Amino acid sequence: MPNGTVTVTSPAGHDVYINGNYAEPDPPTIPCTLLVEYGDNLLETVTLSRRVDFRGTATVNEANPNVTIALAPVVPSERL
Amino acid sequence: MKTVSRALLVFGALALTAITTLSLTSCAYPVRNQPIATLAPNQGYRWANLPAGRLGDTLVFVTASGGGTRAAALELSVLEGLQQIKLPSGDSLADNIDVLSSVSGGSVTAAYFALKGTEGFPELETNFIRKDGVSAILLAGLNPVGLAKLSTPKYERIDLLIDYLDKALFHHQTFSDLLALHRRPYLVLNAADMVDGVPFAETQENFDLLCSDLASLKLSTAVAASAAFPVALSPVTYKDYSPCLAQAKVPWPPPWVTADAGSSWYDAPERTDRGRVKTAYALGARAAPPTLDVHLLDGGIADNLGVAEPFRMLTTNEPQPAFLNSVAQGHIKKIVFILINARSFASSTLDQSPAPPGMLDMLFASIDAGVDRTTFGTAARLRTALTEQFTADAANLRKIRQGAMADNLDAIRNNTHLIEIDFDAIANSACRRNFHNIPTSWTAQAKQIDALMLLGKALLAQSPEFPLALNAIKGHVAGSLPNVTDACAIVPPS
Repeated sequence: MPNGTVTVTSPAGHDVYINGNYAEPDPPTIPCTLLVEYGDNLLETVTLSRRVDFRGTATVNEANPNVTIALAPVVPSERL
Repeated sequence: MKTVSRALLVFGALALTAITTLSLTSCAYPVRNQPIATLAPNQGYRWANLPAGRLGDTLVFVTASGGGTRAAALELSVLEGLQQIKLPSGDSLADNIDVLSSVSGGSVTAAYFALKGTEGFPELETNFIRKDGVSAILLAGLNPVGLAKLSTPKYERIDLLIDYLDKALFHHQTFSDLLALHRRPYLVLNAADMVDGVPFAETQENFDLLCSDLASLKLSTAVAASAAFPVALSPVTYKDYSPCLAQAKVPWPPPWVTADAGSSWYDAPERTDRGRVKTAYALGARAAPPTLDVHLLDGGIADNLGVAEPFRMLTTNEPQPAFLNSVAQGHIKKIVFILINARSFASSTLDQSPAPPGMLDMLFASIDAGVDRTTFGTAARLRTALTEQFTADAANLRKIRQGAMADNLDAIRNNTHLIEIDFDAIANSACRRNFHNIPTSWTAQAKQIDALMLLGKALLAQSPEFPLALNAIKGHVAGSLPNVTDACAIVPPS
């Protein structure tokens, strides 16, 4: 049950969703730090037309409890 | 779940033998869940499709354990107590429950409350809690029509309970009827997957994995799945329609399942295990080995408190609802968690004789040991999550200079109120034993019910966290709540 953090540095100004939780009503805005479970964590940004346009995966564990990543563009963007 | 009516169990075993013999030639089993046409977060009975809570930054959870009529009555008493707590808006706390998660006997009261609200309390008590459900079910199963039905695979032993619940309370209403009410609480009925031995929360997110529509599911069927006591009743089987066209239009398996399953088992064993089970549901016929049907038994086998799903909500970022980041970001500032545990602890004389225990005693021991272990384990995990975990997370956040988030976690820890309703909180040992000895059955003596209907409210009022929770939500008690002595005075001796 341990938790760590992921700090997302870019793309600035985009809302970020964790592990496909696209219905999250208050997604944090990049740059931000997120509290996450140990293990793999998928970070994505979504366009107004509900397509994923940036994505990154952060693995958080005991050795690396606090990870910093920049999301990479998804080209072409993908439907949710 | 202890000492569930032995009559029902013996009936179950006999019926099982007879029916197996009679129905070997046919495979027309009942289909209880329907496929879904579209997987969309804005459709179906989902948390996000219910209106926002009226308490803003406060989340109110109620969980209710199994325990037959004993559990149903204790939960009703607590809900009546919450109805007496008035908020500044004039609403009661019962009207502001965000999440109601339950198991087995607790699921009857939970589902009926979600459907009818506080107005349904008298009906629930009259039409279910004070009825002799065991006799009704046995009569339905043992009359010629019932026996004829049971001799076909289309009608299973669990249908006796489903029919009884429909007749007494639910009248074939479904989750779409709950959705149409457009109000919280968000109802989570919990069963156990008998193959994987894990909790199965009957939510649309889990039904998505089966490509199935929760909204069309009868509440009676969902409650029965949560209450399908092993052997006495047959499991409720949901068909896994995966893979299906609806899933082909979205990333599949869903990202949250892939992230869980893809995590290293060394980093996050529980998460990885959870992801593997859900991947098997999501792949359905394409899984290796294929998952074509999910057989559900009484949720008490895996989590007799109904805590597993709220625990997941508070400690993960999985979809809907998941509150870990909402807590860390400070969107949620207070949590009131009411945990109702109607676990029995029936006295036994087995250890006073050298005679080997009989078959039924051994069967009950094998079921009850598992239930007791999961009950203890899940309650402890919840307490840890609400206290130690947030403390550890705050310390880690301070290390990386995220003081604001750390402050949020410290604040939520100080503003979390876990109110435990448990027979173990009764100080008087004779009284405690009398409540512990109320059997798990779909029937109870009138005086036992009278006592339980006082005890839930009394234990609510007695909890040291109760005044703190009242203060946090600025609530007050309208009238007075009974005390435990009142309940002890009328509970029949065991």
